[in-house]
Amino acid sequence: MIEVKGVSKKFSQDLKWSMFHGMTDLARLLFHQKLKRNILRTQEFWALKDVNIKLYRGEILSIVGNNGSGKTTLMRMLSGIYPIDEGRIEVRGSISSLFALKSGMHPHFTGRENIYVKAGMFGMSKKRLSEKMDWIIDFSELGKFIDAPYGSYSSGMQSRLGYSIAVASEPDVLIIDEGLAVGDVAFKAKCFDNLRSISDKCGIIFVTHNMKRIAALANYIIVLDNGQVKYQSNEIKEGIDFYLQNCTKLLPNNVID
Amino acid sequence: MGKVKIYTPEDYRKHGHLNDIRELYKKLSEYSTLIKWLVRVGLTQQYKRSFVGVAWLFIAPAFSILLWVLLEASGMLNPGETEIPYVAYVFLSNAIWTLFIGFYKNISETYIGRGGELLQNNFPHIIVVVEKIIITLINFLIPLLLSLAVLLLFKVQISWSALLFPFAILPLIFLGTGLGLIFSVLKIVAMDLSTVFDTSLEFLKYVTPIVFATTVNSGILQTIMKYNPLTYLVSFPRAVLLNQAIPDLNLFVICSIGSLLFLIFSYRFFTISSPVVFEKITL
Repeated sequence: MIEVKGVSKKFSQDLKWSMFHGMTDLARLLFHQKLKRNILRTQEFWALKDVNIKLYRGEILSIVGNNGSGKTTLMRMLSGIYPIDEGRIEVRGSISSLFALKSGMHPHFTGRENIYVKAGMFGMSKKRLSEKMDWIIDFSELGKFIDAPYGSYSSGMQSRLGYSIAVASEPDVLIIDEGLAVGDVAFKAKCFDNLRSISDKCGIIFVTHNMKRIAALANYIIVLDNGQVKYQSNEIKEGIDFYLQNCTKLLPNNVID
Repeated sequence: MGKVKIYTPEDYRKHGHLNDIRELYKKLSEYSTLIKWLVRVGLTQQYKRSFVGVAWLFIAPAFSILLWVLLEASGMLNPGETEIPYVAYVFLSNAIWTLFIGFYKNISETYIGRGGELLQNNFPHIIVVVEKIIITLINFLIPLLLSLAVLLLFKVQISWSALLFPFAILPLIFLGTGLGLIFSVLKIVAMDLSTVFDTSLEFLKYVTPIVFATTVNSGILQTIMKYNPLTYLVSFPRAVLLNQAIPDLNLFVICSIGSLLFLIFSYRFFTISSPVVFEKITL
């Protein structure tokens, strides 16, 4: 479903330099010059370097890594939000990605009205949404609160709604970036079941720091560190161990024990 | 299985050709429901907590028209005899000018105002631009229709030529949209430039016949107005609506073609450059 070949992405550490590079890029575009994509300019660093990933239908891929290791950047590139600086990404079919829960949602509007907006952003047509509307309301278990303002929802309720809409869009690849962190136990269990049941029809990528959830759900694991893939395999347990060892290296001795 | 999408570092070189118009049409029809909802949200969200609701869309312009009428009645705004009521002239000029500025301002804030939404959700950026175009048009039409009613009240003759008005303001809309598209990108990386431009727009208003007519008694001002394309783009729709003699039709046509070309250029600039600098938005 997804093939990532030698993909790199650079960012600028310094805001003013970032603006300056942006302006030079614009000038280059204006005069039909090639952009300097594959070299680092002043104050730039590789947020991701030479990442290779394959995702097949039926796979539940889990990506772990410390904060700032490039997980979300990678997810945004897969979704087509960020342009890439090196390599090539091939995506077969549609992608629905769930990043921040509140983005695109409007607090003064009801849950139902927000479904229309968010589903539209996932590219659902009016007809498909009207078929799925009851399922979304039912699965999110919001009941009568579906017609209450979205701003009054708890973060758990917001995540239920966001997850339900993303799944209802029936993407070929579903990306969940920390989207389920705040749901309650019962809802998480329900999501797990749901993810497993839809996984034969699509590929799933989820980013989380919850190792138990990875052990229970994932069938492929990738460990990112400093923008590089350090480990990838379908041995979930080994992957988790590798990651935990990798983290603890950074800590002063014996904190974990 | 849907279509295959391929992303490479060279993507920016594929964008921006004229057959992108077809691509644009495809995007617009694919996301038409989203556009509808975004317009609805954009128009009504500020009134959601009020009891009167969207009626404010009409009440607010009605109040400002009432203010103008009162000022006119009190005779405060009457600089001698002019061929049409001065108040109507200024009112209409202002409305046309506000439309132009509104297109520029709203569209230029696509990334600064809505960047977070675009960074977290994967849908074409042009959808937000289209949403802003529609909202700006609606926000213009409501006061325009109200002020037309006022013009009738002041017994200004509105003739058949007024029907041309929607076409006569198109070049101004093109120009405002084009500027908005270019500055939406520039506002991400070149803040100084866009701030200077925003400030100079204030100045531009006084070298365009908005508050004063072209016959103002100042040599320099008259010269600038003469070479300012906005003069023709503003006067023509106003003359059409008020059934005045049409000034410089040729120059209007030339300026219109210019603004259409400018819009095409700026759309191309937008499609090529926005994906490249878009990531520089910091949330």
